[in-house]
Amino acid sequence: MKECGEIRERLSAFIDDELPAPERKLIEDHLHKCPACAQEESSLRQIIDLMDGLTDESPSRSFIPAAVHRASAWKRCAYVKGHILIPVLTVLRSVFSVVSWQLQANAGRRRTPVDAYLRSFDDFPPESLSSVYISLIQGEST
Amino acid sequence: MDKSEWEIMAEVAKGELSAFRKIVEQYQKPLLNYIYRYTGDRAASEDIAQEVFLRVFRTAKEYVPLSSFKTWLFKIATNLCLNELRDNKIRRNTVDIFELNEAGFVALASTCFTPEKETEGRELSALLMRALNSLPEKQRVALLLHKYSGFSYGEIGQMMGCSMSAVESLIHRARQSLKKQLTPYL
Repeated sequence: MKECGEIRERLSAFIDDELPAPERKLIEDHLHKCPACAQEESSLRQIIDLMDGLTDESPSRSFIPAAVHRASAWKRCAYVKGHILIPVLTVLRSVFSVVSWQLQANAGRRRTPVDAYLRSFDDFPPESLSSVYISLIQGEST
Repeated sequence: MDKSEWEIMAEVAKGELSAFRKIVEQYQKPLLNYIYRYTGDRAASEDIAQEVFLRVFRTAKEYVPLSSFKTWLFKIATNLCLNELRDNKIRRNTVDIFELNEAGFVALASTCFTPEKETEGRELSALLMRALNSLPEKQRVALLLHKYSGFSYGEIGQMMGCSMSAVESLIHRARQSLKKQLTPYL
């Protein structure tokens, strides 16, 4: 790693102390010999110093109470959902299932499929060809 | 992760508000400043920071201390900021200095820099904020996480899902870009 281009690519990692010792030593040696690369390193450090000067913002005084309040509100909602809403809905669903099953069973008892089939013949209008046919069949059977 | 922090998070997972308060007290300032420098929007940064802490409370049970708590927290913050910016909920303060012509540069410089050192510092900070906001997303995230939140290249790589050498490259390119934009004012 002797080329200036390669050295410059690694200058940020060098400044941030993110390089292994042997590579760090190589760059240090190069910077002592190469004024252009040393200048590049210096200008990068200037930018870092400038960034150091950026002042910190302080959160508003209501930040912590607001965060705790929001967490508390969410906790209450989660409690209502988990301990009240979901159990109540589960019970309601079970009740609805039982009731609807019961209604279907009662309806099944009142009208069997055979009854329903036979009653469908009552729906023919009087004097229609079908009703004459039905009456003929009935006459034959009696 | 620090053992005491891990214990605090276990309490947060049980819904302990006092433990949650400790987490907020400890991280409110670094988190707010990270979000502010990321988004460039002071008002929105407080709302996003609130949302980050609420997510910490809601998902505390899912937290596994494989990485540090701080890494987990800042990853949530980064994702939220990115979502907010993508949904255009935040108006980015992106005045690209490269977009100004020469006359614009002179005008900007003459209005920004007064003999008073304090004013000069303030204006330089404003220019720096603008320059930071003009960086590509990944470069900005990597640089901010390293510079202001004290994460190593390895930790940043873990957060961003890339290699250490990729992080190194992102940070270097970010500094090069800042250098180009700010050298006239140094």
